Amino acid sequence: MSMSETVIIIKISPSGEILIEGEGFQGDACDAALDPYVRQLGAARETRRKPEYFRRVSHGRIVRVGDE
Amino acid sequence: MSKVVKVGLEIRNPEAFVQALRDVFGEAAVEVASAESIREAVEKASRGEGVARRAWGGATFRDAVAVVRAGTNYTVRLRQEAGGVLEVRGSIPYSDLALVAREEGVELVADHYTDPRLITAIRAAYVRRVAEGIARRQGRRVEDPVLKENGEIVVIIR
Repeated sequence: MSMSETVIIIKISPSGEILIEGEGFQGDACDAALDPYVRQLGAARETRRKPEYFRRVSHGRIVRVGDE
Repeated sequence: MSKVVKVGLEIRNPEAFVQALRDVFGEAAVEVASAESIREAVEKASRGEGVARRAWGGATFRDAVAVVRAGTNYTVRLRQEAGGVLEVRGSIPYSDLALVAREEGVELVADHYTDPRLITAIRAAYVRRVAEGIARRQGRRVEDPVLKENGEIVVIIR
């Protein structure tokens, strides 16, 4: 996956559980991309945010909160 | 990854589910309630005016939006992560497989003896159909579902 590529991955387990994952997104862009899939496929039971979710995007550059 | 959401699958798009059944079994094998639209078929089924389905013990209910009859043969082909294609062949056992209208929504009803790989493949076909509609609006594309060794099916949207 290239640095700029964003990917949505949907995993369907044999028991019917579904996991929807966003890869390569930063911040709110992930919510905007994933929410339509979550809404149409069912009810969200658990949401886990990954570190890059909290990276802020400002004027096209990435600001890592907490970086020196 | 920036976010992971665990979702309890609910069939919120019955039209996409009927399309998924056709994807898996072929157009001719899926009987749909006579109606102008799938939405109307769901309404008719919820009033007991849907397709008659035969359940366990021979009981018949007219609550089905769509039905695949017991005895229908199927061949499902799943691309494997490890390479090659897994072919799952069989026939619908005993009770009809049906998309049924309930007060709380629509759900898939299948005989207890149905091959779980078939059910997973139907779920994957439904997820793919739903995803294709959303992906098109997002300018993305949906890749063919891939079966992993642990039985999980993965759909990637780029």
